[in-house]
Amino acid sequence: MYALIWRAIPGPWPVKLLVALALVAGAAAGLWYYVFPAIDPYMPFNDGAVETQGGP
Amino acid sequence: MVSTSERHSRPAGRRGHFRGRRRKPPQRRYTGGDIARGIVRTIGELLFTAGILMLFFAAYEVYGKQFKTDQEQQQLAQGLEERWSEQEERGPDAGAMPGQANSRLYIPELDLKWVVVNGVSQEDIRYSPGHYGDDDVSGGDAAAPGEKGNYAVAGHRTPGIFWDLDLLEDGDSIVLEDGENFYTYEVIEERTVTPDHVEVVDPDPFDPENNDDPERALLTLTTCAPKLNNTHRLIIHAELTDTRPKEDGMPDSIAHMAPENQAEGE
Repeated sequence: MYALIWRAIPGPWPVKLLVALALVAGAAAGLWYYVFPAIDPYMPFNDGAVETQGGP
Repeated sequence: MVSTSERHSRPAGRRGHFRGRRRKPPQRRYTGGDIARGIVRTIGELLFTAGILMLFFAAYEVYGKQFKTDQEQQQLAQGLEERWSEQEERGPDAGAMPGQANSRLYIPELDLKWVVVNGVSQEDIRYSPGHYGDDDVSGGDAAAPGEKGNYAVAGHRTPGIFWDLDLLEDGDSIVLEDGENFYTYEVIEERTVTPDHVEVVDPDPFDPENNDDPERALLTLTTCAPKLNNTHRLIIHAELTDTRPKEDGMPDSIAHMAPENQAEGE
């Protein structure tokens, strides 16, 4: 999987490395700012209220 | 990174002769071992990726949310003063909209303060503690700050909100601020209960017979216990000890947390 990505990136290896790092950074930012905030409310461990409304 | 699959990848393309390193002819056939290795390697990489993702999400839960919480709190704080001045004109019940700012809560022991919003639904308390409103308590009669009864607040057990709430001890002060006054409460009891103990937010959590006519002004904080888990609730009860009009300035216990100082503190 990672080997495939590595081979799909064009250029000599320093360029490949840079592009790969940029890809990793992009994926991390996307997760951090969009994916994680979106899925966070569905996590079971952050409900602080007692069950007053018929459920947590 | 120079894996076995590199050799039998794709036919030597334009980069093949550019690098001049491809020794194997493109017609090389896959053996059973190659396929097995490829499958095992892919599984390994997927597991590795899943592990990294989970660690990253854990890091987000601890650090990322704190950042988001701080941001959201600043926005809420801006609306709070506005709402207080509106309330003076329209009466105390006006503007009790879910998700809107209700009061400000200070815990000097932990050096934390928040804008408390109305309502305790997931939506309301995502980034700030929420006040159990009339609909959320069994008697249908939630107390206002400083009033006799129980001003109950729910918050997530996340860094930036009620993460360290277990560090509070009896006698520690919690300060509530509304449009007119600062109310100082002292912690009188901590306990851990299961989530079905809804009486902790009743007007008198200690004696249900007093619910219609509570004698004491209480503040109750509820949050998850244990940390990052959902099985129990940590409950902090505090009792009103002092009411101080805003013209007299902030109480000494929270003087160092005044908004001007706060900017550099965080």
